[in-house]
Amino acid sequence: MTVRWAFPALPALVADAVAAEWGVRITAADDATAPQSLPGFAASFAHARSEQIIRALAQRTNLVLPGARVLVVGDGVLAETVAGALSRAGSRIVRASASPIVLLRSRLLGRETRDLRYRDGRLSADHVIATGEGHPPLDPASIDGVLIDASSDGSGVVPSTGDMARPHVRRTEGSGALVVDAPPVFPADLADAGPIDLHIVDLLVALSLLTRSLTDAEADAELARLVLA
Amino acid sequence: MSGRIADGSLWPEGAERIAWARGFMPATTAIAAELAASGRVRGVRIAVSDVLEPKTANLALLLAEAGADVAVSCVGRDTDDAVAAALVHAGIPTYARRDASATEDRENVLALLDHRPDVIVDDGAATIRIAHTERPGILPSMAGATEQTTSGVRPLRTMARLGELRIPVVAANDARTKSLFDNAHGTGQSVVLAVADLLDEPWAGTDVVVVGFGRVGSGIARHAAALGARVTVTEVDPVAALQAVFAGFSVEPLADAVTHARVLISSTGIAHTVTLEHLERLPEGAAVAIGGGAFQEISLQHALASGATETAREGFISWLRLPNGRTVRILDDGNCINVSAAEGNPVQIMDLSFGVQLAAIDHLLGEHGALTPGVHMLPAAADDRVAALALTAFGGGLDAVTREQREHLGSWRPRDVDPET
Repeated sequence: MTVRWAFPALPALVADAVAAEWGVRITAADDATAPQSLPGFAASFAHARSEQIIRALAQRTNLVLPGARVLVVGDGVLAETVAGALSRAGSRIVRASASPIVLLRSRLLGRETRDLRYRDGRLSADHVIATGEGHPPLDPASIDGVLIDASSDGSGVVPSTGDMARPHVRRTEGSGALVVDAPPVFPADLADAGPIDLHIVDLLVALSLLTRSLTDAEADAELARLVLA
Repeated sequence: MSGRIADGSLWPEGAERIAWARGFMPATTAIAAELAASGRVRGVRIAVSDVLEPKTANLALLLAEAGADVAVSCVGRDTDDAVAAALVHAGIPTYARRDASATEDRENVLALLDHRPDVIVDDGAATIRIAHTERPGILPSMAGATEQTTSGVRPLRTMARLGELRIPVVAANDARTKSLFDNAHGTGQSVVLAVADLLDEPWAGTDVVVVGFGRVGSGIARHAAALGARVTVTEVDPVAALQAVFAGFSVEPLADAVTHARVLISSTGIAHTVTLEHLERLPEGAAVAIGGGAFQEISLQHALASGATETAREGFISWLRLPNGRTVRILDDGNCINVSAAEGNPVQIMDLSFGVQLAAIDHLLGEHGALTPGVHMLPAAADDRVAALALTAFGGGLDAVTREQREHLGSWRPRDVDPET
């Protein structure tokens, strides 16, 4: 049996082990369902990914989060999770989206908003976090601030060139953007995976195994029960 | 003399990170420019004894650029060898190396003091205290010292109460621009994220116990909760404990809280806060860290003397098997986690703290001979000046007190019942 997801491919060692143990081959396919479209997986993944990104942003720049103006771009669960975590930490959040529903929800939470449908000029903030969900890739040439791509597949930011300002932080030619390398959701080589990477691997494998006998929605609900337990 | 460091060839890496930090230190840079323009520190011998990372290096370099004769020391566990190399490359005598033994750490402090500083800029007050015990001859001519930590100001106040403090010391830690931001926000962020980086485990839903709800502890609790942790606070002060309840945290005695802690972070700055008995009540595999910093804040020496043994070590994590058979993880041997195992507080936060330190130096030198031995507050105007500079950098605007408000503030008459007055 093959389970396809629009999500980065599992480390080969894991994919092979799952196939050998349970007879399920988990593969990556752009035209398949994105597991983030399932609310249980989306919530669990968003928290893990949010932690990966916030940690990388802080650790790789040594810059402050409380008090900083942070532009969170996108309209998915990941964007709201990152915005929530940083807001609780004291950052001044600006939600940027093309979705009026997302903008309304954000405004009613007391957050500043930026409507991407009418975007003109540059996006400027202390930190800009692209999620890749509901927005085209951000071009660093049009950004002022520290930029990081939180998307699961590198689709949030246009690749750019420039010299290194410090390890994992690249200047952008002709722009004020400083692009921070984002960690992958999990490394290609299992040997490089840490506990939080394995947590995401675990979520995807568990969801995949559950879909053998359940609909996607039922499998997602069961995944939520397992995570809660 | 160029000092004692590990490897001078590391200087380019250190210089790169120092330059990065400089770009986010507008308040410190502005105050240093004022010191340079006034000539206040020209030729003044200043000893900087602080966590040696890029922000501290900028403090030393800015003082040197303003004309001061600067020397630097740091204990090994808080030393970034590349930064130390960059300072030496820039001509600043530096006594610090990561692999220094306790004896070498002490020799480095003494070497710093042998520069006969007019001013000591201290972190933890160890250098100020060693000056009193080992180099008392330098004290009479000193303008004074500044101290930037809660745990350093505390023994200095004890010295003052006992009549044993022989120089004026500005409690830079107590300046509002320092303690309201560095202690709460900077240390909160850097401690939680340093622990998260070391453990690399999901925090959402994790049980985190924070010992102490002072400014540092409240910041740690807030940042842990921001990542989704379920935070429990322990306290000995009923007012602080009540504040924690009103901030939305559970409050329990430490002996109870440890039983469900996946991560325990102590922020009291007081030795023997986390005892062997507490460690033995932790769940198997729980992690313990220090986010403030006092020697033996976790009673590790007692634990080891009582039969605890290290069974494994990986990087900054030590697996400690306790006498009752349980194993816990001790992070960075109980040292202050955010400076010893990470890059310290965020740059813009240290910009505030070092802006305050420079304002304190300015105050000490301006009042040299007028300030009596003792612990002094930084004048409010100097504190406000640093905050105003940083506020501008953060994009904030400020009002001024109006004439009518000033009149109200200066009047004692109850106008609400006597509107004609």
